[in-house]
Amino acid sequence: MIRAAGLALLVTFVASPALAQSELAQAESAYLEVDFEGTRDHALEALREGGHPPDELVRIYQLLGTASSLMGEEDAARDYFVRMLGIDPDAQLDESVPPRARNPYLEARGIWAARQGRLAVETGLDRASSAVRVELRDPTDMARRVRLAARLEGAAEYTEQEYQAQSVLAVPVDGAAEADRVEYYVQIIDMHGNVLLAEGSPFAPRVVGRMPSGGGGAAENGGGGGVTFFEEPLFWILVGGAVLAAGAITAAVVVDQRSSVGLQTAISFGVD
Amino acid sequence: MSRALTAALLTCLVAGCAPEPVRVDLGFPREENFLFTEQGRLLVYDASGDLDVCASLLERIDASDFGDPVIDSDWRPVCELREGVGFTAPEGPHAYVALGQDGDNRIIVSGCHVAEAYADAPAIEVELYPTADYAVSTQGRTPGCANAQDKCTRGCL
Repeated sequence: MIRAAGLALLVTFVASPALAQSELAQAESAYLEVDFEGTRDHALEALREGGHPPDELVRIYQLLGTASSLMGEEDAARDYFVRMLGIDPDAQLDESVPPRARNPYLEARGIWAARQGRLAVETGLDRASSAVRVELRDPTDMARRVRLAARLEGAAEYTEQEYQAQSVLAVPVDGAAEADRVEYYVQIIDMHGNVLLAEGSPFAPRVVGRMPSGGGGAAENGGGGGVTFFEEPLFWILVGGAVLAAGAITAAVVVDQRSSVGLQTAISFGVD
Repeated sequence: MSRALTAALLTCLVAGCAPEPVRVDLGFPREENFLFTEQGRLLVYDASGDLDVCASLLERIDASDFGDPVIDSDWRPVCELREGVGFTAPEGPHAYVALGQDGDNRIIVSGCHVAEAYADAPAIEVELYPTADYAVSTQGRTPGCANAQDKCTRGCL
């Protein structure tokens, strides 16, 4: 019984991302040994294991694309590079990749140049439904799930929820309707459980809600999702009114000074 | 660049955009008349209805009826008027009346001139003349100081 439990634990451990890391490391080793088939196999295994953050996922697709290209499988290589650039549009090939293997990569870049947008999420606080609104833009068509962990500012624990990927999601957060700010991090997950895109983290969460004056607002902390008072029309109406009033007062002062003439007394003496 | 612009704008707001004040020159016949004068007063009356109001104004003032001036400096040391006292000029023609009195509160010099103050206008010259009380006030006296500068800096004995 104990042995069976231990074996199950071992299997669980082995199936964890730690092994995926290992698969990725093996793929890297195989690539260094010019074993492109081994590179592709281990990289595919790493991909299927899931649990990789975006930077590792980019590397996996890069290894897959490069190995496939070097094995003459250019169509497959182009598809891998398309996915790689979908996650990181600025991803470059290693200098070690020979020029003859670069064509699929260049084709992939051309494909992305013709596409609109890039993988992105925008968030906002929907007080009416006490939810964090997540808008997903996925031109890669790789997103399968959206994972969002949120907590009211000051709370200790995040509440994590996962949904099927949709262009717009409202993730309910208890108390969000009355909260000033909600801290969150969001991840876009692919079909294998890898993270295509991550905004924030448990230790550096993004924030939506009312931002303190001059604090940079959601653009800095929350990826543009928060409704700050800088975004409130009333704020800009008041600012505009204040500017107009200041201008009018200035003009009035200037005009008044121009129109008002001063008198200044002096004494003189006639010629005796 | 923006600092210079701001400074220029502030300067303009505070002073630069305002026209130079019009000088109201109280002309004593002689310096000695000034030396005997202790207090001075400037009054400005609306003269839009009658440009020839000076005589009647001085008569009324001689009877201690100061009427309803639009500007009244009130009695103040004549040296203050020499150093320069500022007012906002009224629009249109006005009668500028200047008075001087001795230490016994007798008006010993007075003058009046109708003029209009406007931006870049010439100085308004109010010529003062000794009144009937001047001779009474100064008879047998000599000024306590040599000149206006001494009077206004050290004071007369």
